[in-house]
Amino acid sequence: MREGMSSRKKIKQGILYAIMGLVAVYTLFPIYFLFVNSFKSQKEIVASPISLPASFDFTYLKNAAEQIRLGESVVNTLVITVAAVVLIVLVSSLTAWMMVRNKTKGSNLLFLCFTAAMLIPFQSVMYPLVNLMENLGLKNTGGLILMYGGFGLSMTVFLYHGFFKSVPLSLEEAAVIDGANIFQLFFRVVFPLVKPITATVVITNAMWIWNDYLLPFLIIGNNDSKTLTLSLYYAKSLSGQYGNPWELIFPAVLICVVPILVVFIFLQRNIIEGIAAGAVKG
Amino acid sequence: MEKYYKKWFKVLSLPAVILFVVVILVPFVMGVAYSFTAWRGSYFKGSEHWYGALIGLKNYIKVFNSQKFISAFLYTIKFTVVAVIVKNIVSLALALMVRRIGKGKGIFRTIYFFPNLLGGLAMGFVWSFIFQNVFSMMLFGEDSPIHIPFLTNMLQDPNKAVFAMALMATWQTAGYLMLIYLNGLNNIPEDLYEAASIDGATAIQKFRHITVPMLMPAFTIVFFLTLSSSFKMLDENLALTNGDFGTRMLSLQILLTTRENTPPNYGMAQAQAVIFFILIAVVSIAQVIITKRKEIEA
Amino acid sequence: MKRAVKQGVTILLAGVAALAMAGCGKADKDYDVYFFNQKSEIAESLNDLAAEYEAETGKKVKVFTVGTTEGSETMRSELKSKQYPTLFSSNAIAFEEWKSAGYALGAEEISNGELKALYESVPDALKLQFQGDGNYGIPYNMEGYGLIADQQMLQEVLDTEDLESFTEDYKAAGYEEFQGMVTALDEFIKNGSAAEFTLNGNTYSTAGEKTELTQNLNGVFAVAGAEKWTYGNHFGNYPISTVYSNVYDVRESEPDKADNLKTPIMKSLEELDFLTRYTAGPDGAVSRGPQFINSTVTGYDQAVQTFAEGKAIFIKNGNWIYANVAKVDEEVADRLTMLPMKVNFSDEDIMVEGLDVEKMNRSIPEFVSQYYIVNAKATEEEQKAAEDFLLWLNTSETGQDYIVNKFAFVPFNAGEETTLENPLSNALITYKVADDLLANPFDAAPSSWGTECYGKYIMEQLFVNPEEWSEEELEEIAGECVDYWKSGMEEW
Repeated sequence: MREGMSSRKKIKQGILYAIMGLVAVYTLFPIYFLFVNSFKSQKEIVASPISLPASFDFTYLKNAAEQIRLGESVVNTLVITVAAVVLIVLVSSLTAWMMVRNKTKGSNLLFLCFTAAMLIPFQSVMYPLVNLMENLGLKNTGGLILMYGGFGLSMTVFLYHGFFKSVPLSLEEAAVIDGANIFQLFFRVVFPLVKPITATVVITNAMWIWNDYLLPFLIIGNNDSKTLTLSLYYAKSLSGQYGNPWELIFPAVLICVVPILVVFIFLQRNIIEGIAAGAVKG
Repeated sequence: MEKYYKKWFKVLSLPAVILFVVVILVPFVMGVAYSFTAWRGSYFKGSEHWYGALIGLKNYIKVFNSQKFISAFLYTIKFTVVAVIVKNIVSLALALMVRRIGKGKGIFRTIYFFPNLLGGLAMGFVWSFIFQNVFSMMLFGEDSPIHIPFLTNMLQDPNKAVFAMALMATWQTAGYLMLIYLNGLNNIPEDLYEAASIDGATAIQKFRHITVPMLMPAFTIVFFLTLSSSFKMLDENLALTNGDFGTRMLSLQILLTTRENTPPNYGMAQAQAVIFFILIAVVSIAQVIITKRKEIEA
Repeated sequence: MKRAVKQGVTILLAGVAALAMAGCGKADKDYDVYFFNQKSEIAESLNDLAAEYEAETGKKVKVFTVGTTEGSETMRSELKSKQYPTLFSSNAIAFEEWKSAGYALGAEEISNGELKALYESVPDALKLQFQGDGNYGIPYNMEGYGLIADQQMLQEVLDTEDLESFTEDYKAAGYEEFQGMVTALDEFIKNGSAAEFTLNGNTYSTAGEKTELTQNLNGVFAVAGAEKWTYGNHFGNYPISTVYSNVYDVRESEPDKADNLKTPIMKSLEELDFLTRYTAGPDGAVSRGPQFINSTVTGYDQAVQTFAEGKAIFIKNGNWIYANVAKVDEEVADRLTMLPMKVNFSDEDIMVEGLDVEKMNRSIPEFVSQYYIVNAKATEEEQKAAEDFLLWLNTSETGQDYIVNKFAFVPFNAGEETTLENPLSNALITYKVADDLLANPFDAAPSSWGTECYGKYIMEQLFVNPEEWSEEELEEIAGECVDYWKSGMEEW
């Protein structure tokens, strides 16, 4: 009886592993593809895209790195992403907390506004926003950070709102009685308690800001302080103006992907747990 | 304490309010106003200021008569339907499978999640090559081992392209959605299943009567996410087909409206954007109401 | 470990915040002229030119170049920003926007006398106008397109040294004779045998055997099937020019005039059907079907390469590909010549006064690609600096050297005496001097008709279809194109 069951189970498990293995291959295939073709010439890429490169020729990667001004672009993107995420986290968490603690009509209305704004697609505000920013003199990196702050607000406030409800009021009262001022109260007592959602928020926002194309395109355009995705786009359209310069695109995309890969490998546990935790509560 | 919070509320929420007003509210209102004018980007046709160039509903009428807009709208709906179904099925299936296997859960989770971190535009270029060359010429083409006409030249036919884009979109998000379903599945108490087994329920019955109802909250989230993101999709559309062969979706349509006319008709583009917002709002709200109701019933 | 990470992150954040603050503040204007250029081919040379100007005059020119797809959008926001371009470029049709927004300085307002004279020296046909009036820009260059060939290749295919008579006969020949020539060339390519054809009544024959150069041929024409604009815009110009005499004619006409486009469009599609049966490719002849529009086979670069590697006899393209061909094979580039594209219209199809089929068959469409325009909203001082630079660019020795040699442009005022390095540009001058010129009204086609309608139908319905294109199909497409044109006009 036992033997029969465990071999049936083994077969089932075997099938599962096989299916999942196939899916995993499918998932990773584009990355493999990207990697392998970053060492080939245009001709080789078109002729034999799936096979390993004839030789590991690093000139394409080097060329791509130059064309997309790797160092500069990474720094620009890093500055923008970090600054924007910090801004979003600070502003949203404080606001959400206040909304939870101060249950007035005003704060409810505010919460409603923020949530409703999640429905506004970027295209609806795209052109007037750029217009407005120009008039305010904010059509630059600084303004871009502020804009990300604004766009990240809605979802982040929404996520924080749910979590702050679970922080016991008594804890806060105790801290105030002990003589903490508002900032100590928030940053030392309340904020650390919502770490999981902070992790989620940081990661979710960082991801879309790092990879974002449209907003930097409209604000920075072809200026010197391009982000990584923007540099990729311009390198593609300027060189090989007509047709696709695959020998530039593949290494360039690979370069864009590598920082993410590195961060991911180091922080994968946090990232996945953070997202899983945050997603359902939201 | 109440007074304490009340005092600080205004100060602490001020930055958020300012950002919100400047970045979202004002442009949105301006956008709605501009959609009623003859806005041309660098100027307003007929006047120095926007209020002098009001043309009433002309832009909206043009939009509703515009073949391009209507096609983009219908195509977006087509795509959204397919994408939502595929994404949900795949991510749920993945979640169910990951739960069942003995070892290696973490590795598989990580692998499936990874594409979610990659940018749509960049990977769109890679996928376009895969569809054009690898699928069409190497793997499934006429001279290749397995000839599957459906999978060749997917980007050159609007119907096939729906699936091509859905394929890529699923590749990107399945891992992320799988995590949400996993979480939901993990929250279903084991004893419910055990009790059902004792009562003699089959796997399918267990799925229908325990798993599905208990998963409703997760399903609501996933459905909401996939619905709105598919409807709004831009980067992948731009990179894979650039709207060729009738594959232009709404976001791309708005972006391209200003590029196709000289002088560029920003007023009409803005009208389209406003309509876009209304569509999304209606769909999202309806969907939330419906699923919340089902949740309560369940 | 966690604490260290936390501390590290805090320091990083502080540093980043400082950087961000630093990055926010914009530097003061440190240039005398800000030139926004939309012609990406000359980007590098333009930077060199700016350096030379600074060395000569001490004035700093900030140059900024974009690719064509987002050129307008980027320039739009630049013009509205605090550090706007004081000199910019635009083509004739996008110009309407800049003029309406008030950015174009007209010739009468130019303060620099010499420059003003230059503005006035622009021939009427090439003037940058608004609603048929005024004079707002200096042309960058002249460009033209047609059938480009390697002279040595022609000599060896036709087994003759005398290309002059061939060229004269070719120009005088009609469409049917052209078709005869194409089929004969195709036979030569396929069988290496001598085939006869006539041009202008004179008999020609292909060689009886293949040479080292001609053996690589696998098709008569190299076609960039994956690039809508090459056939949508430039080939589309031929039917358009039978009805409209120039860009301003397009803008000023009544929408119903577009009904006359239907027959020429149909005929042009018939011609395209014929032409694309003889297409060369990187690995052998390319036939119509999904492969025909695959960007790795018939992308722009691939088509040019196919031609430059001697796999095709002709490529329909413009004088600007000299640089692209030179990258593949410099010797071939120096042997290039340009022949007119033949059209299968009849005289009844042509509405434009003074134009007939014979003229169309011997002419090259020439047009100004971009104009230099001074920003009317700049301050007087900025305008003067921009004017000085513009004058220097067009009249000084260094400037002219750049225009002719480094940019490889055909100057708008090129005459018989001008000889350039680019043989295609010299060919253009020949046509200009002989007044064998066609207008380029497609520039004014509404709503990107060339790529979004005409070119789109060609790519999506015709190029993927290996069968002969039926008359009903073509008639339907032509009808759609006319409708699209008319409704596009209502947008204005």
